[in-house]
Amino acid sequence: MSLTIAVTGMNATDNPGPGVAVIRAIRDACPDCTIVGLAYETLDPGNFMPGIADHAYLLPYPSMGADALSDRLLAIHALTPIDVLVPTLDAELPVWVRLEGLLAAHGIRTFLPDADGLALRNKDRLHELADLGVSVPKSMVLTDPNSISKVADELGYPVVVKGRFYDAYVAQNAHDVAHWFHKLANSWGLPVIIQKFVPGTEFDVVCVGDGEGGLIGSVAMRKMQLTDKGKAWGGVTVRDRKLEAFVQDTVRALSWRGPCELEVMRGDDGGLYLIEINPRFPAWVYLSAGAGRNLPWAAVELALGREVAPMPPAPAGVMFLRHSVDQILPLSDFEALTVHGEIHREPIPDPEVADAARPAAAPAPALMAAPPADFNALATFPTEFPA
Amino acid sequence: MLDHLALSESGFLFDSRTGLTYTLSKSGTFLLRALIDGADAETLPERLVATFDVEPPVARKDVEQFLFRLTDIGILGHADADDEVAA
Amino acid sequence: MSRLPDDPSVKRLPYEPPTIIAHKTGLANKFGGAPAGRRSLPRIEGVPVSELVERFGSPLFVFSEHTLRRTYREVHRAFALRYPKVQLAWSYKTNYLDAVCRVFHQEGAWAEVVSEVEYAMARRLGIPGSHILFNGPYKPEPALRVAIEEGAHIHIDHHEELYTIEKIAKELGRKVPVTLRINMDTGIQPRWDRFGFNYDNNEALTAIRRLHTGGHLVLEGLHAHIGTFMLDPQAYARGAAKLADLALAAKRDTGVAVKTIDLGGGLPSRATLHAQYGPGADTKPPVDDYAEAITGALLAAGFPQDELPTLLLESGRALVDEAGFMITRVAGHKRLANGTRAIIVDAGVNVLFTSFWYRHDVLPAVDRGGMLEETVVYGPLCMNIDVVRPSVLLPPLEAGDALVIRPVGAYNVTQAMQFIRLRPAIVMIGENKEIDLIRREEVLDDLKGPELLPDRLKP
Repeated sequence: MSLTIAVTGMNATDNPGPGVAVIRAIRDACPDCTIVGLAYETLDPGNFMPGIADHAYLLPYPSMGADALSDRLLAIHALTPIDVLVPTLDAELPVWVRLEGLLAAHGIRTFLPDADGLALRNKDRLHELADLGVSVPKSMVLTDPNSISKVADELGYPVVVKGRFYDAYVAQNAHDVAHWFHKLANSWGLPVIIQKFVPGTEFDVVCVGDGEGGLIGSVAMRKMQLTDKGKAWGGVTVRDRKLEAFVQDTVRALSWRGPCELEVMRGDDGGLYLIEINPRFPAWVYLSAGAGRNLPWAAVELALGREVAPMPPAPAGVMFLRHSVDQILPLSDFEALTVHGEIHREPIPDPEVADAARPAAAPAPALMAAPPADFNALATFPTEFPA
Repeated sequence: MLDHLALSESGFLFDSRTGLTYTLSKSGTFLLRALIDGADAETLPERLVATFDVEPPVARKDVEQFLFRLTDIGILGHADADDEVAA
Repeated sequence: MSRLPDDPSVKRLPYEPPTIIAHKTGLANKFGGAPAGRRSLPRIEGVPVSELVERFGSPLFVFSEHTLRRTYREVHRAFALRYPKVQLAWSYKTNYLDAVCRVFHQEGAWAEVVSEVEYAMARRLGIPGSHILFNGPYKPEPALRVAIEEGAHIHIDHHEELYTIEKIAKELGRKVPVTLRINMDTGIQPRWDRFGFNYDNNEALTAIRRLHTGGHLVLEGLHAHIGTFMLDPQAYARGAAKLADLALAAKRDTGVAVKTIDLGGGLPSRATLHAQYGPGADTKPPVDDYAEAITGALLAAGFPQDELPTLLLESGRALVDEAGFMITRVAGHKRLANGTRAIIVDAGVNVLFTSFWYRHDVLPAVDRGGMLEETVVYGPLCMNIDVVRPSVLLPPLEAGDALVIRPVGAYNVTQAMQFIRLRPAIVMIGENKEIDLIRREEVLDDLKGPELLPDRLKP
């Protein structure tokens, strides 16, 4: 039976979400899988890329709350039954973790960190990891701009100013901190995190933990090419025993369950510091498939309850270089997503056939399915206009 | 006259002159479709009443506001008198 | 309903106003025909909103007795399950409507008051002094005298108050039990250090020694109110641990065991702060987490079993916020110059003061369908700041349509102003769905009654 995997984070922009990379890795391992792309914005390019999503749907923003999100996902599930959901964005994860039980009751499987693990990796609590024996830079949490004056005494400049969910900026003085504080608080809410700047070299490591302290696999990467936002645009896998041990120790200390990206700094003092844990795959995760360690597929298999053997360390020297392409798309695709909130490139499964093929799940409450798009109307939409 | 407007039944509108896109409500789609097909703006309230469950005074008020808004956002050209809907 | 003039048999389509929305960054109706995002609230506690509006007009505050009682019991149970001696005291300032206070008192709550006015309100409702916690930074001497004579529990905020109470005790010739208000660093910002005596710099212990050697006062309890809308239960654990530590130090120094430890209020409701990313209901930790944090810290502190202090809590918002609703009606709508849809409703920041801090849920009583659109909700005041919600997804609405705003049970009634408009009626829906008017709509004389016009200025 062919699997249907739903993946979020279709915003393959210059500051990309991981969805498209996760889907490409899953497609490599499972060419027969049906892929449901879940997007928060109509213009997320992953919605329109050929060979990525068989069905693309819009979701309400996580800020609208768990009920809005679960109503929408279950309506999508009624139309295109989902076996595994792989969320990839920080802001949505707390909501999906909360909904894990409800999703499981509807036969939608996930492999996510638990709420405690997720809370502990919150950027405002990262310093608590020191208590678990993980080496982290000194930091403080600001909920109020009046405390900015204390940064100089408690940490000393320069510092890194981080948003609750995303974005980080280096600040050299209190004026810089104030500027980024307001910007980040407006975008992501409070608190804002101030971290001592550690001079050194950054490595990014994508991992999957088994939730019991074990590391299923990891791939470490050094960025070679950066965007103006500091995101990886190109990189190469590295192998370093000390780093491998650090990653294993960290995943064990947290008993991390599911995917994550560790941002690790090798300080000029030779020490390794955990800068951040992102509780999901990074946008560059396709590199893991390229290096023969298909971590997205491992996460899908773990979600399905299958045994996955720990993977040997990934080879060094596998490179990736991102590129951008101007995708031509029919206006009718844009219309379908704008007006109906969905695009279907494959037939919608016949509910009866789909039901028969599925393993028994707890009976789902009655759902209002989204009315399918009127394809004839879309097909007749004019694609040429008078000059 | 309004042949730069591509309006689909779903309420999706593309203005080929500006490249902007819009979504219209069902009744909005109905009214703009009528205008594109050459209807006289004066007849819109009665067309609305004939098709939708709405009282004539409400229809007149809503049509007036809708036309104002279409003009305001540049869907119905107000700069170029030749493009103006026959009213 | 309306009939088609020439052919009544033709079935016409359901109507929604003609609308056009330009696609900018976000889209108004991005969920297609799916039900997600469409919400309405046709009934409050089973009573149709339309019936409430018809009977009592608009705007209208509505309180649910059922929710008041249920919430009280939830909070009380969470603590009582984990700790043998728990007493809740209803924070009057949060909402001192008699009917609301009486519901909590019937449930067993004491009163927590912060002025002689609130003290009188509690006494008027039959609450004995021994069930009143008298808090606040300003308690005039005559008020302190009455409270001491009636056996109220006085929370001392500063040294001058301590001296005044000592003086009264001396005059009365008896020892007066008192509670000290303590402030401290609980790891949260902003730190509340303006009330009471500081723990971290030892000011509190010094005051306790001073109080003991004075010989007229007996330390009965320690109190700390660590902040408001506290979303981190661990801050309470730290606060409780420090109070317990101080209580044990006081016992060592003076030989007197502290009888009560009061963690104040500050528990959040399901309201959503403007700065919060998701809905408050999703972020608010369950009350059990707070109970676990506080009682865990107290039980671990090392009190001898027979000297375990009574845990006092002065909850306000957490008990009342979700029980309060505001029904308001649409007065008109407009398009702002930038194309944004705006509605004007008959309840504004004059009666929904908390709109400045919270993103209140605004729900249409009836959703007749049609495109959802980001809408500004303006109140009725001729003031630019009168904004109930800067942006909320709403369906098309007509003048006269009712909206329900929630949760608004905390602070809005007590802080409602007679500014530009008089204050609205308030009803309570009882456990049996009976609807009682608990405060009538104000009339001009309620506002102008206390005024005196000099003869020379009379018309």
